[in-house]
Amino acid sequence: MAGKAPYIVPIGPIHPALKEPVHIELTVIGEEVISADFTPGQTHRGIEWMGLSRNPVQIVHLTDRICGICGVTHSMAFARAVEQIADITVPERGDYVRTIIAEFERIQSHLLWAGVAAHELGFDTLFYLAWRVREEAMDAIELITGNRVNYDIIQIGGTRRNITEDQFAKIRKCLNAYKEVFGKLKKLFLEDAVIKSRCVGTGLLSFETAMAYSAVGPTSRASGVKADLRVDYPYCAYGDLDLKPVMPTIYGSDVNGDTYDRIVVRIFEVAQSVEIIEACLDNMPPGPVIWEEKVAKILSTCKKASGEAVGRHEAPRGEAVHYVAMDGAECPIAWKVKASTYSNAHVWPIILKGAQLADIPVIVASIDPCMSCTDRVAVTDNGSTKIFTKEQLAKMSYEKSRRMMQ
Amino acid sequence: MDEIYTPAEVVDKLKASLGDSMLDSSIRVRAEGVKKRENTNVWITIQKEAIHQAVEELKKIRYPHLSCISGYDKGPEDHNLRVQYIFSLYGGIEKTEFMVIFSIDIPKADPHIPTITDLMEGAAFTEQEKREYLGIVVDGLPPAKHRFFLPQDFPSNIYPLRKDEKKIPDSMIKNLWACGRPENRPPATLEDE
Repeated sequence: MAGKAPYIVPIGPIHPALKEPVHIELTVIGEEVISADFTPGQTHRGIEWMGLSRNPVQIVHLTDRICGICGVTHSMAFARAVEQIADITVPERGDYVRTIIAEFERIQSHLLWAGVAAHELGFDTLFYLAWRVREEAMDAIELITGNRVNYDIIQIGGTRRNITEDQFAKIRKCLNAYKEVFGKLKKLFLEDAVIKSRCVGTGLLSFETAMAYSAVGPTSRASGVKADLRVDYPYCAYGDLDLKPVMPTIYGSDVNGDTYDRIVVRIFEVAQSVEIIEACLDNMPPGPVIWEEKVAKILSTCKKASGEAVGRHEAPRGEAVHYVAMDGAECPIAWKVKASTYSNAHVWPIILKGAQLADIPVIVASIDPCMSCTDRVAVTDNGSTKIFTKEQLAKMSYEKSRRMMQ
Repeated sequence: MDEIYTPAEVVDKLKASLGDSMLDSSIRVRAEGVKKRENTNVWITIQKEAIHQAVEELKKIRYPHLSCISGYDKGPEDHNLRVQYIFSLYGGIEKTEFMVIFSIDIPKADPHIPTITDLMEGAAFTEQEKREYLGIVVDGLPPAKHRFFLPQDFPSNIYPLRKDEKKIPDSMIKNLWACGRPENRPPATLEDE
């Protein structure tokens, strides 16, 4: 090979090992990663900027489309922020419906991730199994909201649909299916020798770093940061429940902060979500699910409101925060979306350091990155962007491969 | 474990150390669900010079969680940008966590803030975002190797979230359909089989 070590290995922006576009640049000596750098911002759509010329009800529907997996996370965080500004009280049943749909989202998101993690390790049988059982949650979500993705169930002041008594039986059937399959999932993910040998001790994130970088969700809990908004900061129906954050110690192991611990936390959170949904179904208060049915009235209330607020929600990947400021006009004057991956992605350079090249895909995936959540603002500059044709790009790619082979 | 202060006590402690730099504070409580368990947000407006000290004081109370630093342009006629440091305290303690949000005004004519990365290493990412989106100069934050949030070829004097003359010009967002297909395409060298 020409040149001397260290070599730079670029991964992405589009790469088979990545679910979504992000550019990662690794400096390697031999198989070992010396340092890593990443460039997000490959899927910017300018959503925050678009929101500044839309009214809150329009933005709620826009928030549903920030991410294809956390369909309810962003709309719930945004709606909670606006409700605080406009002093709107969500009916109790509305809080419960929100909680149930948020937990179904956690189940499907964690199983999606578990499947991807298995795929990154080359364990495709398990990938198919995880995605097959994920379908149960997708069916339940479809039953409740009418949609498999982009649920569109949240509205300012509550939810747009109720969960009726005749839906309970089907939802319980879905939950029972998860209870039955949980033992199998646990055994396959946590006792498999190959998964263990690939994941134990890789992608280490220490407690101190997780704190200093304000990491969130399963990524931080796997490093021993005992923080879960659902437990610490009661909102929606979570305040009524008796919850404990899921830590890696639940599986009887010590906290190591490695990829394996992140699998433990997520697998057991699926079981926890099933329990939360059951508790919500058992204790569902009667009454309406929305503060005001007429959208025009919601809008006129929002139009009079002024002030600033922060809405938070513990998304499957960790804390999501929406900051909204309104000044008595139709559109908000400020809207900031802080997705979970925003707080987790910047630990990549730390957890990738010292890793083996072959472990990169699973370590990158271990924080469950969601780039579409993180990448939002920007406008493509049409005037000055250099346009490459497909042929040119292909040629560049071939040349690059040849260069690297020399 | 350290003593746990209530939101009001935290405000008092910060007031005692920041003095006149603290301009305004309010504690907002919200209760949801059937049991109406409360969650609290503390909003504090301070002078921009005091932000580093405020974070330092907060850190003395307990190591905070930094959700992010958000910010917005108050309008084309206004001379200030407003930036919020969104923290939370007591994460990990059941039903105790509350948010502490510091708001500061930054003059557009001299948009400088000190970095807080010496106190919290992880703040660099969100401080970098304020640089790219609002054109705020973060003193003490080393220059980034590349842009993190905007395309690498984005014009350097335009900041997407500004509403004044540095905002995104119409030419970048309007009539994009009119650009047509690229001309002078090189001849295809790779034939489809």
